Amino acid sequence: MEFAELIKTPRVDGVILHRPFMPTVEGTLCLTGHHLILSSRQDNAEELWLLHSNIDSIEKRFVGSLGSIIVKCKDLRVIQLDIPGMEECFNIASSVEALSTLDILSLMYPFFYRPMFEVIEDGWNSFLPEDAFKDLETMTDEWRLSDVNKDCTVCPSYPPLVAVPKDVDDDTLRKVATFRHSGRFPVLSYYHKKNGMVMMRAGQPLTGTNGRRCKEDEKLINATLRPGKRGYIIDTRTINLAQQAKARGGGFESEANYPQWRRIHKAIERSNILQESLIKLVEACNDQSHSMDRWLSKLEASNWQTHVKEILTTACLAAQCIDREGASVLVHGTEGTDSTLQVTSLAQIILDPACRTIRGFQGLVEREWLQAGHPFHHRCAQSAFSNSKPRQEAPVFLLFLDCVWQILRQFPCSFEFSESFLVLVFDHAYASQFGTFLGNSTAERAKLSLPEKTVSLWSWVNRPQELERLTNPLYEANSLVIWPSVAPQSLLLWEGVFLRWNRSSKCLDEAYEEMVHIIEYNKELQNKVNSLRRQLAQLETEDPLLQTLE
Amino acid sequence: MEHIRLPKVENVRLLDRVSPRRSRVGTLYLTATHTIFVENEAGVLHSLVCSVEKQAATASGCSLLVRCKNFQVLHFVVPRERECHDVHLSLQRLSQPERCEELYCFSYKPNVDEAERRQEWDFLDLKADYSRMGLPNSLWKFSPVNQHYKVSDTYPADLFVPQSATPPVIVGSSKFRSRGRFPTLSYYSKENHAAICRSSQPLSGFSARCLEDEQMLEAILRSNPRSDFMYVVDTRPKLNAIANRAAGKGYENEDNYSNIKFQFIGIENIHVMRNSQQKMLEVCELRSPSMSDFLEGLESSGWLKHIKAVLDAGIFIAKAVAEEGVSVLVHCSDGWDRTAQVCSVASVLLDPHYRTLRGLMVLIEKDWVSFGHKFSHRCNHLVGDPKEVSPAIDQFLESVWQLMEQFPCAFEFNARFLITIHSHVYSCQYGNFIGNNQRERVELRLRERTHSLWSYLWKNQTDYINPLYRPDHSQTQGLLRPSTAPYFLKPGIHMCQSY
Repeated sequence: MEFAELIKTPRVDGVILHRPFMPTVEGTLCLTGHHLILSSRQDNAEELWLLHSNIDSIEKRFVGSLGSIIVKCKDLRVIQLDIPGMEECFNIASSVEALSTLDILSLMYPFFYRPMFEVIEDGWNSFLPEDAFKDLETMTDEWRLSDVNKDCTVCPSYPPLVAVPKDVDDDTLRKVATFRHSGRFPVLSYYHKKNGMVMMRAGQPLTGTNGRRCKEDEKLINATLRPGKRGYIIDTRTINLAQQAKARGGGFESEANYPQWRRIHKAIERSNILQESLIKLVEACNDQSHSMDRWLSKLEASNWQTHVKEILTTACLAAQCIDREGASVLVHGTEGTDSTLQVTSLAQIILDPACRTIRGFQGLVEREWLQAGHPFHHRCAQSAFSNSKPRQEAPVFLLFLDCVWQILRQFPCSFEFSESFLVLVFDHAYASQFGTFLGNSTAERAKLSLPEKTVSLWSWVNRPQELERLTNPLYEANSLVIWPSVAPQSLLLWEGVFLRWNRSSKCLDEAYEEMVHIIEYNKELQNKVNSLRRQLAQLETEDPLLQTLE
Repeated sequence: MEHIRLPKVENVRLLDRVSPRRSRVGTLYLTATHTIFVENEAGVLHSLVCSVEKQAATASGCSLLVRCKNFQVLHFVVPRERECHDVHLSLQRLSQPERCEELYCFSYKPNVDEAERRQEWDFLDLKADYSRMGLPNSLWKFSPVNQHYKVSDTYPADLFVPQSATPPVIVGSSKFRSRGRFPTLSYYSKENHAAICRSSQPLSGFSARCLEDEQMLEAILRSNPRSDFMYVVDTRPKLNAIANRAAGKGYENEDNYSNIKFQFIGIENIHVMRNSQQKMLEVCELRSPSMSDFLEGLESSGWLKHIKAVLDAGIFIAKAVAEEGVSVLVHCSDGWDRTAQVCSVASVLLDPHYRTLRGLMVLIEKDWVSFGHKFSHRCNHLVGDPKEVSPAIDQFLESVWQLMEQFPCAFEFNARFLITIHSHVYSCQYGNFIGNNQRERVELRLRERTHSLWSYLWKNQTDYINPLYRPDHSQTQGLLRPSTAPYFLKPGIHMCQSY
């Protein structure tokens, strides 16, 4: 297929671009296979470069012969383009519509994008499971790296290499896989160095209505318990939902068959409800009525903050079991690819200081989201403005980032990265020139040869000039577990994402610069103090008079 | 001392609201002025106690909930019910003094000699602030008309009025205004001569007129030579103002006053605000609320809606002055609650000076203390009419906090400064906020007998400095233009404290 077939009008002059809090720009609109570009042809005026894949929906409006298209983006930005001429407007709109809804992975921009920067470190190789396992080996010898899934047939959504208890062989794993949803047998998610407790994740057990059991499954998870110790199973669904799942062949671990485990049910919502919640929240944020009652009731009705609270609460619970109770934890919901990952990844942010560094966070996203088989392609196909009926879209990953932001806000000095890093990751999960978030699993990514044909987001991030931009100036390494407050008063709306385009950030940016300036000045003074101290010490040792005086 | 039934109780537990596991055991002492919990040296000033609630006894003891006017809630568990009962009764009496002499400011004696104490009261000089504005000048003059509080007993002695306003006009106008509170100057803009004036409502009823009052407004307009009209802003909801007409009060008829533009800005009255705050505090006290409980409670309290109304009114006036160069007369009913809020918010928006430490103190001293905001009644310093209580000053301080959130570099002071002022408005430790007006304070001889908060704050200014503030920063200059879109306003001071 040629992109040219889809582009009915490649270029229109005299187009006016409206963006909130920015002056209007008049210029030439060009459509390419992957971008919508507005160029004013003046040196200083900013141009618009918009990826078609970032466009969530497009609306047309006509007043006389002047047409306007309103472009709503996945990063929640809304812009308006006034296009002279009915036909041009019509053509542009339908071309953009076709280009932005192209669902052929191999035609996506990352396959065409060539980096204009020097790749210092190839991000595709930065976070391989075998490297993560080497770190684990320095702490414990109770685990092994299994390649039972090397051709991705045992569990299509798992990577080829997974960490499992040392005493459990591959045959057992194969049997357990048949007992777990989508073959997602329990694997290691996190090892808590402080007390050797672990967090595992899986899909739901396929007990069905007649209470099927699987000795190998019991053996596998019991193998992670210390003698005489009990563990916790955190089921992210309510007990009712878990019961209902039995009718569809799913279920949960019964007390009778898993006597060493205590099961706790939480209530993290499923993906379609989350999608609805996002749509309502974004609608509320774009409501221009400016009535306080209306805003608060819409915010409440969206339930977004409720989801944030529930997810964080569950993550805190998991972390508490591990750190405070000294117990191992198994987390699952239904598939084990959504709420499960929210919980396991956030628990690690709470427990493990390494996850709060820029590189550690990349590693976390790689391990617990990308390699763990969160279906990014499905979940992030549309965001809040899409008119089409949602299929598998859901802001599961965005909710995770929101929760991280809440913790970051409560512990502003404990994270090496600043809010802008989280916003960047959000943007790229939905539309990107990088291949990192394409596909639904490691298997799909390998099939598309993404590591060979596209550039990794991490290759771009892990360069000095980017790292500097994303670093939190307040960071001071904090080796402690951090317990966020989940009280409603403590959870705020993430303005940096939801109000990003509805506010002028000038004053806040200035405050940030001021803060950086103060910190740098402080460092400078400290250096001065240190060098003066050294000088003084030197003088004292050199000066015999001073020595005799003492 | 006669009110203390039991001076000391041992083995009292102080519960931590957030995590019950972190409760502490200590000894509770009652003194004449403080309740002291020894273990961590937590002291509570009795004048800060808002209410004391005794809960049913349980096996572990008897619960005593002490709610403070600075929104702190202390949860004590006293081992024996008898003791709890005594502490409860003592505290109830101690927290509601009946005579002014019982207030803490009269017994508060820090280690400061008399000369120094007297200097404390000279720290702020309102006249200096008027001269900073460039007054008196050819347009505005100092008026001694209220020297002995004869014209309005709730106004300060020193006032500025338009150059062309003669004493008969002032006195005539004052007779046509509630409590004699005639239009007088609150803020004057050197740059363009526009002014903010304040008063109480006119006694217009359905048709009454007053020539002198009309001349008074005319005089205000004339003192702004570049403008051919002025705004009259009634900060009440229109319905309330109309209802007042039946009682012989009301609002200005545009037909009777030449060149005025009349405007209602619906800020609710003290009773609505009191209830709103009460609901807001109930939300803060909920035990492990869900997100919906919290947001619904926040909405139904209406608190942020009222904060937005105060800010919007301030913005309207500030823009009229700075952008249109038009003078504004602001009033509500008596002109000491909403009017004080709106004039002071407008001043903060207009003038960078009021965004400094000293400036905010001067502003509160001028628009609130000197102009007769009824601190004693509104803050319930003495046991009195509960219907007179209202959080007008809380709302002003919270409005400033909202502005600080949007303009982090524009204010010399930090949130702690606001919280400290808030606490001491209620604490009665200093003489500044005792009484309802200047006349009462003079009669109480507060300047002779008590200490001043302002010099205390000034001496401890390092605690209150905002490190992001720079006098030469662009945010520091000129008019602030905040957004009051609902999503930019956050529950402020209440949250800071209850946490």
